[in-house]
Amino acid sequence: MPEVTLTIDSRKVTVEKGTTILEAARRAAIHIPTLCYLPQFKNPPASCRLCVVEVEGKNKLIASCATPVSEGMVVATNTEKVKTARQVILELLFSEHYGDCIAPCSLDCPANIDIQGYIAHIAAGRYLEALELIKEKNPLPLSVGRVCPRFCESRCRRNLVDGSVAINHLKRFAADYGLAHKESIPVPQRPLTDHRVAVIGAGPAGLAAAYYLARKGHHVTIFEAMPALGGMLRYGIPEYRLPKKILDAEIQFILDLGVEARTGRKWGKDFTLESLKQEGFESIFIGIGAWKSRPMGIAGEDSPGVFSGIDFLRKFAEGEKVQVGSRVAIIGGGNTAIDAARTCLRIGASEATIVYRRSRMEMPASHREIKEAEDEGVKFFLMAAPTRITPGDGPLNLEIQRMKLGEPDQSGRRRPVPVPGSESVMQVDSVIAAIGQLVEIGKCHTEGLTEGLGLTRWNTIEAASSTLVTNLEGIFAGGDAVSGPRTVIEAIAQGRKAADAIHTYLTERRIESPRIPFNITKGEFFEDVDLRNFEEVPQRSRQKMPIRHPKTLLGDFGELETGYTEEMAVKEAERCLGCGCHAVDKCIIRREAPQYNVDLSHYGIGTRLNYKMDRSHPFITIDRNKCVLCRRCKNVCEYEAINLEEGELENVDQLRAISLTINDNCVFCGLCADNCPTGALVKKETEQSLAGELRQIRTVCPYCGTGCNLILNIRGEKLVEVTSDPGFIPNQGHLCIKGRFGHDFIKHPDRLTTPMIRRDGELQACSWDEALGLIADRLKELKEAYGAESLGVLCSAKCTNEENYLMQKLARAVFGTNNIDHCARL
Amino acid sequence: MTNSIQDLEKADVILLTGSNTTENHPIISLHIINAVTRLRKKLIVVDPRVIKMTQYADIYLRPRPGTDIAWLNGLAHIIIKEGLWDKDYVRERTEGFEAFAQTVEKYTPELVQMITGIPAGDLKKAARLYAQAGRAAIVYCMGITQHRSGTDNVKAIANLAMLCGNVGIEGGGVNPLRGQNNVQGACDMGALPNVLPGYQSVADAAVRRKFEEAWDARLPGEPGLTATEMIKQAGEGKIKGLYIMGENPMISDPDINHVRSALEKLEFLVVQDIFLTQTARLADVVLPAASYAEKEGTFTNTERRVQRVRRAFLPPGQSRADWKIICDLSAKMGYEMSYQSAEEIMEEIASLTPIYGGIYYDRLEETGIQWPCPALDHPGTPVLHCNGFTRGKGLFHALEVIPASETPDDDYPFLLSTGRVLYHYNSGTMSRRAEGLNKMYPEVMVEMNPVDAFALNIDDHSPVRIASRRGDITVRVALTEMCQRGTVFLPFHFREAAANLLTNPGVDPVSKIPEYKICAVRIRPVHGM
Repeated sequence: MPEVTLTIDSRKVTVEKGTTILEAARRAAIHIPTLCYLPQFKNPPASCRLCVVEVEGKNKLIASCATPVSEGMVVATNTEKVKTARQVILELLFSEHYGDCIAPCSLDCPANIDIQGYIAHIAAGRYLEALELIKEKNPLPLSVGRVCPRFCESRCRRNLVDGSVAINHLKRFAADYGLAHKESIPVPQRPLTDHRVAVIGAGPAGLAAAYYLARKGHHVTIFEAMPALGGMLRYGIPEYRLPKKILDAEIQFILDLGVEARTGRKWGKDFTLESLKQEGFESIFIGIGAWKSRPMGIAGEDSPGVFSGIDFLRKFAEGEKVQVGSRVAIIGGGNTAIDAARTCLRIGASEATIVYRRSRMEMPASHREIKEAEDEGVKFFLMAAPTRITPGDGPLNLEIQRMKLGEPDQSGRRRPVPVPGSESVMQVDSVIAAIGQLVEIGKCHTEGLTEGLGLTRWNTIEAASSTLVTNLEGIFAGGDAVSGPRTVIEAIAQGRKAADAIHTYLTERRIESPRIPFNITKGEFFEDVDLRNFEEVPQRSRQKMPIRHPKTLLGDFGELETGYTEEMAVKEAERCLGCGCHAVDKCIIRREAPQYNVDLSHYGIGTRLNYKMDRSHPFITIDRNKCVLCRRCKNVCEYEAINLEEGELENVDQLRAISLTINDNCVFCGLCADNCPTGALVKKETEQSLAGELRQIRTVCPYCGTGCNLILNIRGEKLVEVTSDPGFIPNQGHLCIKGRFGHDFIKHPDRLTTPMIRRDGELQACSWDEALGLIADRLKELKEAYGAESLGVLCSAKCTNEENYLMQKLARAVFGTNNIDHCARL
Repeated sequence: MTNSIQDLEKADVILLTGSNTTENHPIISLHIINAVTRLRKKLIVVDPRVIKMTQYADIYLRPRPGTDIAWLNGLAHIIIKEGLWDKDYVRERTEGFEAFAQTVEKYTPELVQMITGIPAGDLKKAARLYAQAGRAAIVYCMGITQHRSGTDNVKAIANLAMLCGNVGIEGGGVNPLRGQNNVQGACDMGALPNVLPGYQSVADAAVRRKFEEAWDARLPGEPGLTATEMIKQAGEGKIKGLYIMGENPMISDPDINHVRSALEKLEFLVVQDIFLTQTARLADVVLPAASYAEKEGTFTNTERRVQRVRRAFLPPGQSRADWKIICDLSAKMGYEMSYQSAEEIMEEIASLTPIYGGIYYDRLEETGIQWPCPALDHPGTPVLHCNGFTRGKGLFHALEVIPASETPDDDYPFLLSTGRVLYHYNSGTMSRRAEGLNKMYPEVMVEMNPVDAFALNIDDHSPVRIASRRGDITVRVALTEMCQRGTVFLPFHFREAAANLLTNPGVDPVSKIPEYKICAVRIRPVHGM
């Protein structure tokens, strides 16, 4: 073949004559995006034009997939002109693309848990898979499943039908199931490295950081000031919401990964950042939380009988008896205030009154917990603020002023302003102040350091939001210590992000921000979402969380919510609408969009549901709303099984009408779905999310003698799907139904897992030693009694060459017989 | 295959026979279809059933089952009569032509029409198309081999290919499509009673000596028994102990009732498998093995391509890779096999097996190598016999039609053929545990011509009892014009209605292949099912 030399992006490339620009670029490892292109086509349709490039001397951009190279050609693949063209092409494709890349619940979860994925597993009865998937993003599901404020549920699209899916209850179910069944889910832990990381503080942020660092194989040591691990989970959340033994079990899972914990070791007293570095820790994560009560700033708040909310809860958790008397006023409207009030009722207070300066609507505490507190008898004195505490007959007099709501403040809530002349006095035995918490850092951030740890003006630690890196080399921080008091799940999310960044720092000595994925949505707000999406969704109300009767209060710290039964969990999981696209990982337009600065405001985006989902094919789901009309499915199908037309408009909102069906010619080879660049054609088997990084193993099909090359796509220990490399003979990407969909047997529960010996007429499990010993003895006996020709061996056309070789060697050299054959003739 | 799968697209004419390619080798069928539809090559299909490939055929011949030698001889007859044969090739590269020509002399198109039912005119057209092609490939499968005359059928195919100079050229050849993923490799590795690895004869003392030295063991020199013979001799009490690795004769062998009684007679049966198969249920010891996805190794495909199998998962529970089990057992029996890896075994294979002499794992990373590959710097062999045949000259065989051992009669008036369907594989151990495959083909169906069904008052999808002299099963009927009148077709993947309860123990006298394509059955409707 004569050769041609051309220049692509200033690089000389030599290829055979007749090669296209695209192929030449690929051989030089220069990426040109394509959409409609299929390598096996001699005459590409070149219709999508995503692959355009600039060729010197040509005015127009040229489709690289359809243009052969010529001698001396100068090609530029990534000029501004090219980028602009690709941007417009992609923007136009998005203008007709309708779907949710990621389900809104997951987008709104601070930890971005694959909620849709784990709920689908629960619906299918695969509870441990659900748990595994949760733990990819959240190592504390037993705890979070009990205390999360559920950002996800407020965004659940099911709110547009009949109320959100009970996402957090389902998470708790999966976590409880795992605990109850003592079945350890496999934790994908990488081989151990030599890197050592110190984690200061064993709250949710520190525990999450430790867990994910340990999964990556690093040595983690946690330093905790308190006698036990857990941070606010242990010392701030009362037993009736999160039992300590549940928390202990959850923390043990983390320690089981090889995480070392040193308790009773306080930063600034027992060690400093500098001393940790000297001890050999290459990186440090600071997650010390926000443990200092914000002072009320009123006279008398130092009086005996006045406590801070967080100290009160901590002392109680530590087993210290705190005397609050019979009438308690709790100042503040957050969860700490609610927890303190409910705890007071349980330790004998007859009256626990929450005093809050705004209305109930503005209370930052979870509304579910406010309701529960009210049911238990907690009283609310709203639109009121304390002004002074004085000794009195009560024995305390709490002076209170009524408030009204004025103009909104920075937080968007209306600012409370005092109502003159509305003062009154409450007679109480004690006052618990829970109006907020602050980070208590003391001198730790400067001690022994030439350059101090940077703090914000709120006295929290300054850290980058995506990597949690501080101003100091190798030092990261997260959780309440960075964000101020927030939720458990937010702390966990920061811990995990920090762990990822620390991993990159340890292994590559650089800080890398994770790429923000490009997402499209069917509507950011409920009012934007086309209600036709839910026309066929039958109404099914949410499963109620079973709850113990609230009237057994005194001294009762037992958990109130008892958790879903298996049946309830499955029923609830079946309510999930499965909003997110199953092709997010392979979607070409999603992958290319950020590269070309796609701006959806230019041409807009699909906003209307034009087509119903078609699930009639046994292996493939068709969603025409996502079809970009690249025609790859039709072009790649050797069986003419794809009918794809631009047809009659089905409704007035449509820009163009797409008719996409799979006809009776289909042989279920799955190649169309493999080639769909979006989620228009999705293999049903890939509709389940799995935990773990994707591994691809190249191997050979175990069915017929063609010897097709296979790629097993695996996450964790599960086969996601089987694909094939179009670049390899004999099958060039093609597979039959067995090669594509016939591999369930690998993980089938019927698999033999233990040797068996027949005893008393029954096959019974035994050890390898017993089984092999028996075989050796019996075969020797038979050989001695009847000669080697009384023995026979059947080999297998399913086994490998190496195995057949060894088996005939065994038969001939050890058994002493040529009676060996296999099913070649069957 | 003498040639390669890719090579089929280089043929000007493809003669396809005894292969329901779209069902049993779907990816190879794509290559053939591609040759026809895109590259405008010609296709001749010869098959008793109107299989899907007939849609792509330029000429379709429909012989009665079991008459293959007649039409193959008939083609040769016409080619010789019309002087279309490759005289130079026959003179230079073959021997035995005269005797062969004499035999086919009597197979006139008219006689062949009488025997096979193929119209004489169609046979002539096919003969001319095949003989006048520059390059013509013959592709066949079990429809040719699973007969009492299986070996002779293959020889008749070889006769035809040699007659037209089509062996040892690109785009030509005699190409059997091997059934199982590694049936080729199992043969190559000497899992056969008469040959050591690489088809080196056990009867050859020099060969034995080479292996005895390498293995430090005495080797038996008498060829052993084939699988069907072993089962038979087990029934006769001569074989006392049987070790079965990854085979399921209780589904896949003919006349299962006989297989069961034979296996039950054994004093000791070991089965090593990934599932508790029907065969394993009879064993004294069952050993759990690893599946293809849980071990390293190689498979050799139908075109002799040795390809790497790679581990994706850990074996479940205590199960182990078959090669490890063999090593462990061997050690127990006092013969050390201390291989650390499958790769190390392949190194030993290469050292003792000339056709695998250059096959090492580091050469198999990409697309594998086709044997013969005698040396490290040898690229492998896509087309066999380019420079002469293994025995020197290609030998023509003079062959006559051999009747099947059992043909339909008044008591058992239907001819039964068994085979596979796209959705399942052999004894179903794997495929019937795949959700999607079961969904597509959940239940065995017997295929029957609608005219026959009408005569017996049988409706589509209604249950029938099929009985042979050896057993009976009840299945539903799928009416199809694919089947000739008087014949029925039954897939054998289903243990609950095992086709091999019916099949006969007749075998080809040379290869011992069972006569799966022909036995006599009767069919009765079953009511109230």
